[in-house]
Amino acid sequence: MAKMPTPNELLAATPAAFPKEGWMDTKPDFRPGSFCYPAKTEILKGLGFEHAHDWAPDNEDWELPENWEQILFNSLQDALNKHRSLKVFMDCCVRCGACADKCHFFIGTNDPKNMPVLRAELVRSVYRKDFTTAGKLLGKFAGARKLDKDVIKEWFIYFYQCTECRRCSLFCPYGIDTAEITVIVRQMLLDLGLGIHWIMNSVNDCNRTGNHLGIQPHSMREIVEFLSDDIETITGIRIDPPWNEKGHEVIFITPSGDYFADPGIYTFMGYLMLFHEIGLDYTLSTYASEGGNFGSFVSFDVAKKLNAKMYHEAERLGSKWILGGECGHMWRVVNQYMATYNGPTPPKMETPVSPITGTVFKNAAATKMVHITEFTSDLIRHNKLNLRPERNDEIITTWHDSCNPSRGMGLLEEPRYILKNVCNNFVEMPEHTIREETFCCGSGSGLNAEEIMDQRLRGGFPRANALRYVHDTQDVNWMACMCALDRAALPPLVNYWVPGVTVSGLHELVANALVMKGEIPRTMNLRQEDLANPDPDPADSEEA
Amino acid sequence: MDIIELCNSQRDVLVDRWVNRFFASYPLDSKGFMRTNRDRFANPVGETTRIAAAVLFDAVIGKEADAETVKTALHDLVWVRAVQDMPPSKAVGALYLLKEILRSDIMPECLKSERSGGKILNEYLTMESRVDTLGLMALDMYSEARERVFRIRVEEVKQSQAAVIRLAKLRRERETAPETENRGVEE
Repeated sequence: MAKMPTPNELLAATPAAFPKEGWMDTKPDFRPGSFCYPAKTEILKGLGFEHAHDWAPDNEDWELPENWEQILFNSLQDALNKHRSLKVFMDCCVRCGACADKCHFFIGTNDPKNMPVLRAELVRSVYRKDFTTAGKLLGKFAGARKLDKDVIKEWFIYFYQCTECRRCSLFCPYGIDTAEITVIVRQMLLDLGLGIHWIMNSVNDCNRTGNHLGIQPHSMREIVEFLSDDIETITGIRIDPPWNEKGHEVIFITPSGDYFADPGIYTFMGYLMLFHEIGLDYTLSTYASEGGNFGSFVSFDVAKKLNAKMYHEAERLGSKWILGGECGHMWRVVNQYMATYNGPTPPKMETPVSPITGTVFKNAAATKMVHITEFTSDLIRHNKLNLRPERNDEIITTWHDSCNPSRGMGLLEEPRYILKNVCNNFVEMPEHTIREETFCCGSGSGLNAEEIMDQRLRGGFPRANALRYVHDTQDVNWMACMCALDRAALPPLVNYWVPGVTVSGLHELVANALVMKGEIPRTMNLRQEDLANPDPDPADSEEA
Repeated sequence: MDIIELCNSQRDVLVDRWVNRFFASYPLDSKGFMRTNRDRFANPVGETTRIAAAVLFDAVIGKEADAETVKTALHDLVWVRAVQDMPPSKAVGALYLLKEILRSDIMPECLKSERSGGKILNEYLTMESRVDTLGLMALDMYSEARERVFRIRVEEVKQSQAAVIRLAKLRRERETAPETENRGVEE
């Protein structure tokens, strides 16, 4: 009879167990839950990826094209030629380890290959072998390794375990942008025909219909009409926003999650109510119906293509500038890439000026695009809004700095300023988990796929852990944020780690507090839940 | 000296060894970080484990403990490990490794002739049984956590369809509702 293992043997829990093999030889494990579903072949083919093919991550053979090594070599060579930054990132890392414990995936999983330095090393080792003299001559001694099919599998697992949040870059003394490395490696994988469904399906929809959800123009209008019905129920005011109209000063563009997905729709209702109240001269567009850009997660070329519609539509409709909704990565694309992707802006566009306050948004001189929190905080600063924050009194809210607006454009004060003006109870999460050092939701960069929920819950744990602390110690029951992916990804995260906290966008809370001209006394919030502090009924005061 | 005093005199060392058994579920390269970074926000997995282990240790050795506090500590520990990349036996099993630590460090003391008389040995056995109790409680918590994960996955799929269904319903309502001239807007 075989000997029963001891618990220690069964759990392999000997504290000083050294790994039998080095990191280069440790193979990734593929089983359901550890990977995203692959992109459909016809979708990749339609987007121009010539090596698209049928494959399954948990099959031993990924059916790579015959000359896959050459394809990859060319792809890396091409990326190095195009991006001077990549060459610098490949060469300059001294492996100081400053980034190692800053990644939410590392902190949440404690898998060493999720240390940004080691994740980048997965590709750096291949770069060294083929592109550096030392690597060619000394091989493993110079940290180089030969490219084989297991390396590709490893890339697929770990570069889809990076949300491109750039928290590591903040701590890197060289400023190595791991997000950029991730995008480039994903592009290289796409060149081999390897992509994930969640991202590429959205890219395909956006390419075809203008938005990630594939909503067609008539449906988009219809959805917004229904949201207007809800606004009418709550405020008694009918809003009929302009669509695809020429000659308005502003074109408003927001992520499709805002008008389609719960709880984004309440944020969208907030935008409509705000614009109506201040009499903004704007139009919505069924073509530029997406602010987000899933292409930016995987390929600069695809990102450029999807981004182009913003300027096309602004030019076609003759808008002077673009007002953008609460989106995360949209703002990284706008601030870091848009001007070089598709600039210079159409000649008739102008540096944005708030028509209500006269503030010139010089920071947007190159892109002609203003973030709505910049716009709204400016309105509040100039006393242009009549606000009744006590309508939000049952809420004790904290603020989740979405990675891209906070680290990508330094949008830290504006949302807090707005939040403090529309809510009486605001609590910050602990230091080093907010502002530039904010923790990612764990599902960014197109990783909010349901099939990797465990991974998302692990990756989001550092964020949830900080939230849990203020929930336990200061009764926080609300978390506001300004990213459509956050609004989709944080509710499940909160459901697991901190039940009892509601997630919302910022303009939902703005609109709750906004006193509109001619509105009926408010008895419910935008979710049509009863207000703890309903507006006094004027009829009652007359009787008194 | 009773069993509480005996265990308490070595508490920090024993808890630390137990915590290291939990950390042993992770690759060696990560253990240094988990053990040395003592900031609960920078090292949430490590510190959740450490905080929980201290509370559970006190409960096991028989100190007066608030049942809710013990339950919360165990819950935090199990719910973290339930979504880590490890099998259930590893997620929950490290709890039982406390027995091995106690047997090597505490039991020999209990068996010494000067402590004979049986009382302390009985206390020791009662203490070990409390580890089993924790294991049983953890089993419930683990399966609850996994059920929650799967429920969240189902809800997310449903949620992705919710707007379509809502839209379809509203469309039908609109199609079947009689035409109304005034939609409630004041002229």
